Amino acid sequence: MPEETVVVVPAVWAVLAAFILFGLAFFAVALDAVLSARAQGGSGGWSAPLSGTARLLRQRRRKTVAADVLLWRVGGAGMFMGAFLMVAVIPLGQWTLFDLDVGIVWFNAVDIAVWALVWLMGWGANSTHSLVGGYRFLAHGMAYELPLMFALVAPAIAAGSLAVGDIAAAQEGLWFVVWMPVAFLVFLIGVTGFSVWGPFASALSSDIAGGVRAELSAVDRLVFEAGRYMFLAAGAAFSVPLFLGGGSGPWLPGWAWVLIKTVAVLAVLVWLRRKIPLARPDRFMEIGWVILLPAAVAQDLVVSLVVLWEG
Amino acid sequence: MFIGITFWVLAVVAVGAGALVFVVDSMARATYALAVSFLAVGVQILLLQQSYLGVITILMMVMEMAVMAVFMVMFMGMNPALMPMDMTHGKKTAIGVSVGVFVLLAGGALLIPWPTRRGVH
Repeated sequence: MPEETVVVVPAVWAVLAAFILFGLAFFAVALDAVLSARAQGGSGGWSAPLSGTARLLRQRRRKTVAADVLLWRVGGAGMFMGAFLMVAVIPLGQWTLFDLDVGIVWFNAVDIAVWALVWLMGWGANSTHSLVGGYRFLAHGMAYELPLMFALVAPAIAAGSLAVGDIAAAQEGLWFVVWMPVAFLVFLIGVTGFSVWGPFASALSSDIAGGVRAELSAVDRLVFEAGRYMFLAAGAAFSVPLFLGGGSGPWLPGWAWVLIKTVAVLAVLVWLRRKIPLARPDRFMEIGWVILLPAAVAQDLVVSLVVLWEG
Repeated sequence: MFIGITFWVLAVVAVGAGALVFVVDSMARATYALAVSFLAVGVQILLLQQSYLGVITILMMVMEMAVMAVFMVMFMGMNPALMPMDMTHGKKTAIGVSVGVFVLLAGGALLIPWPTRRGVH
């Protein structure tokens, strides 16, 4: 597609973007429930997003003594809204809501906000288990965030731009995932990290009675859980313009390819939850800084050399 | 007009949230009041059309405040940091230093011979 210039659409289209994000999150919840049901020898589970939402909306709100309600609610609502901010800079084919010249940094800033939000949720409940969960997340954050930042550098160097649309356009012919697989892998680890998903869910694990969500109930729990799934979906969607060629693909229009690739990445991330054990925050710190961080920096070096070589 | 209003709203938020740091009685609220103040400053930088600097300021400051939450518990021991407490100490020295620094910076901003704006006709 030579006319791969990004077109900024009117702000009204944000509603459609929100519905797409909701749809992806619904798909992730349903797929997870179906896989859970299968793992236990049962079937079904496709209605899980609807039944879960209905159940949480009817639940009574739990209160704790001397909770910091303001910070607690800010944490939950922030998780819900953060994912929208993230998808705002992702081009859907050639359309984008917000053609920011520093889109990658924007993505990074939003995923950093999750550090604050998850900790605030852990703090707000005034409960030991919640707070322990909040600190577990920060420990994971330190381990996955720096490798993630360096992984984000690789496509930006190759495209010579921090704008997401430019990076997608720079992959005509050869997708970045082909020649920067390490960066792609580290990026996906980062996405599961800031979604508190799979191996990075120790902040929510049952050995601390649910951790950050121990005291969460009703609509507060709904916005937090929805936020997690939407962050997972937004992260999967971001991998498409960054590594998977954006909207490029045969026959179908660009927007369709973006959605298809997003769904595929999201399905893999959901499926992997059952395949990878929980990462202990202290142990993963070593993996993050001794293995992933040098690997990501080496990847950046290779990409820089290739860019220099090609002039 | 719009930019002017945004500037003043953000300025008030930045200064107000900065003052709140010393008013609130909780470590967490003080930390994140400071984060809100920095967030407002970051958006001010975006108003100057310095996208990279603005977004990176927000990124760094939010991360810094989250890390500060780790350090405050590490250095203060578990209990004091979790309890309501006064956010000020060494008041006379602190007020003296802050007034001095403010006068210095504000004086610098007012007295420096700013270069005339170029490239705009």
